[in-house]
Amino acid sequence: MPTIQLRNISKRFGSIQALEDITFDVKNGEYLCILGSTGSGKTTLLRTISGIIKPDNGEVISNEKNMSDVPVEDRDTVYVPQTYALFPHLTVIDNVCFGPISKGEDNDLAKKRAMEILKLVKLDKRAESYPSELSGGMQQRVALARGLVSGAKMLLLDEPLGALDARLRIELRTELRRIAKENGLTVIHVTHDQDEAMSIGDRIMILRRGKVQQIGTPFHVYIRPQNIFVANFVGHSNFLEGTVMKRNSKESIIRLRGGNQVKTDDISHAVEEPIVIGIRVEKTRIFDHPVDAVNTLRGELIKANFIGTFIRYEVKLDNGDIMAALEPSDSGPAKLQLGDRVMLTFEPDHCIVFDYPTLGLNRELEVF
Amino acid sequence: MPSVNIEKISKKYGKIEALKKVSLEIEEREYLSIIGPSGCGKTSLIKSIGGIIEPSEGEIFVDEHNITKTLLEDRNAGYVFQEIALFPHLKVNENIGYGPLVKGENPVVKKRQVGEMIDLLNLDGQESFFPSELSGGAKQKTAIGRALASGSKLLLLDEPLGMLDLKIRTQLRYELRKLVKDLGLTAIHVTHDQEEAMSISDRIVIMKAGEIVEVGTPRKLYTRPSKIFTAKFLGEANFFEGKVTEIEGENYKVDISGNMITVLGEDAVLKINDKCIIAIRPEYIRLNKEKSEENNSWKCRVVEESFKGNAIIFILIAENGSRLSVKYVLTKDEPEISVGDELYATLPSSHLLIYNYPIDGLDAELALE
Repeated sequence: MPTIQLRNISKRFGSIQALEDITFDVKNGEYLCILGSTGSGKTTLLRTISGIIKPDNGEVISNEKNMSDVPVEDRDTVYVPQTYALFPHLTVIDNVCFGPISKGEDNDLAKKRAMEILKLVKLDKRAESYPSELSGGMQQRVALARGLVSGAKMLLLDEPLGALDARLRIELRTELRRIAKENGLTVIHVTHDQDEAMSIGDRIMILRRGKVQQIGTPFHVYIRPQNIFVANFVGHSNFLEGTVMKRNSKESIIRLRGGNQVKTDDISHAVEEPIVIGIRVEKTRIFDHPVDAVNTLRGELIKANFIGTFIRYEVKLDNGDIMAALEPSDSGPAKLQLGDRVMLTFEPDHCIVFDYPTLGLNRELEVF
Repeated sequence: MPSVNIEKISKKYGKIEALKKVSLEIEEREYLSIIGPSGCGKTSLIKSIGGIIEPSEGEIFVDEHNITKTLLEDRNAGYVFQEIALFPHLKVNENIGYGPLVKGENPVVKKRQVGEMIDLLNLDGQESFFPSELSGGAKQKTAIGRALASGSKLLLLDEPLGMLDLKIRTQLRYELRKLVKDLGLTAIHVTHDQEEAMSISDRIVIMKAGEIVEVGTPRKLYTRPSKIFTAKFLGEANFFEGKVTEIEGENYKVDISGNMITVLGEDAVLKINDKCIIAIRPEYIRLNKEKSEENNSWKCRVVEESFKGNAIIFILIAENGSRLSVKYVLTKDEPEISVGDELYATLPSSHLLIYNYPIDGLDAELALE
């Protein structure tokens, strides 16, 4: 049974369509990440779900109740803004109790519950500390505790890790997911960080210019991106432009710009149709010698960068296109030199074939 | 062609020591980046070099001139900040030509200098745009152009790409390195982005709590980090506590909660019975259905699996209770491994790192804040 349902939500700010006909469900206990770049509408969407923003059209349904006329404070969702805005002059526990007590709850009762919540986020030992005495990660957990103390089981988190140091952010992903799962929370978490969304969400939703591009498990979105934008925004892909030359019941032959031919196992595009092939950079192999492979493209090595787990190569193909390849840094090809003639290969079943975009490939690759 | 020599600089803010006797030599034409967790002192260090803050102690030399007391405007260093601070009422070419040294130039020379910058930065066609009409990437390129137009050969970059979207950031980092190399500049670049640091730099400086932990090439720091904190901060690593049981030349035999392991310890200084830390990157651990011929093969059970796009992370528990994180790179098809499987994890001795047990314990050594 879904706990949060959005039906045809639209919102316009002046001439800008911030949200356009958004419909989706979040299941009980699910962790959903909304992923988008600056200006994609992700914060507007979260604030609409919370009731802070009123949509022009559509409705938010929570536990089967229409929330349209329910004020923010009476909803069973809690919005945790990006800036923690903790009271600097109050201790951790007083920060957490502030809401319940100001709503008229009994002091002792509120403190007792606040303490339980602090245990959940592993801050019970720091209950008497002031925010300035806590690390960034701890402050983030206080903000979370303040959201949870109302008893809400549905959390709306706006870039919850955004204010933290990059390295720490990675560590706290696991922590945040653990707290959500151990306490049966339903979470909608907004982020601009692809890796964060992939690591933490049961499902991710990609938003661009106020429109949902795709919603699915991280695996599904990564393996079967619905469009070029998603293939480019989540993970790293090469894109090659071409036309379908031949097609049978199992595979098709694509003529790339410049004349090279490659085979794909896509059969959903007709002969003569212009298309774009997407290939993940880690599924693109690089060799310094001719190899026996179904698809081979030749070019000149123009970049080689050590990035830890992988070495990232960039090759200028003979038709002028640039293609990248990732190889494991400990077991990839022997040292290649910039300027070397190289071969790039990829398997037909690793090609994702997209319709040629109406506004051209470059427009689809723009982030905004 | 500046070289920079930093000698024992310290900076105190009240009781807090942001820099503790930091010494560092930067060669001319080098691209050096500085990384470390929040509060490690990386920003104080670059600000000291730029003359924005004055160190409490120590000296800074550029090309052997002591500039510790030289005023900011006389340092001839180009400074680019994370917050893009362009003049909103000036066009791109006017912003680039604004630098104090360029201002005094005769108009012909100035026009040529600005024109060269526009070319170099691929800003052609956008010369007469106002900042509000530019993308984030073009704005930051204009800021870089302004820093360089004055002819300074030392470029100080304080999170220059930090505010940009990931895709644009990735593209711009290569342009930045190319620019520095083509113009023969010396660049010092503070960043929080590890991949950026590794792909852009000749050397990386890792800082923690006001001190330099380690300096080296990206490959050296990643594959053979000399310090536990480097292994922790740059990339990911598994850490195990162990005890040395045998030493044969450079080969150490270590007992990790009952599992024996052989490690190649090139620079290790350890005796028999010493406590030690063993580390290995998750992608260097191999998973096999059968026990491998090598020594370092542990029987494990897969307890978690998570998909990361270009890799899968498996969490395994070994018979001795050790928890292992294994990164299986997906350059080929996915492996036939699922949660609950029993298999062997091989930890190749050439990829194992051995360290003296830290005085304050492992947790303190690994702490980020």
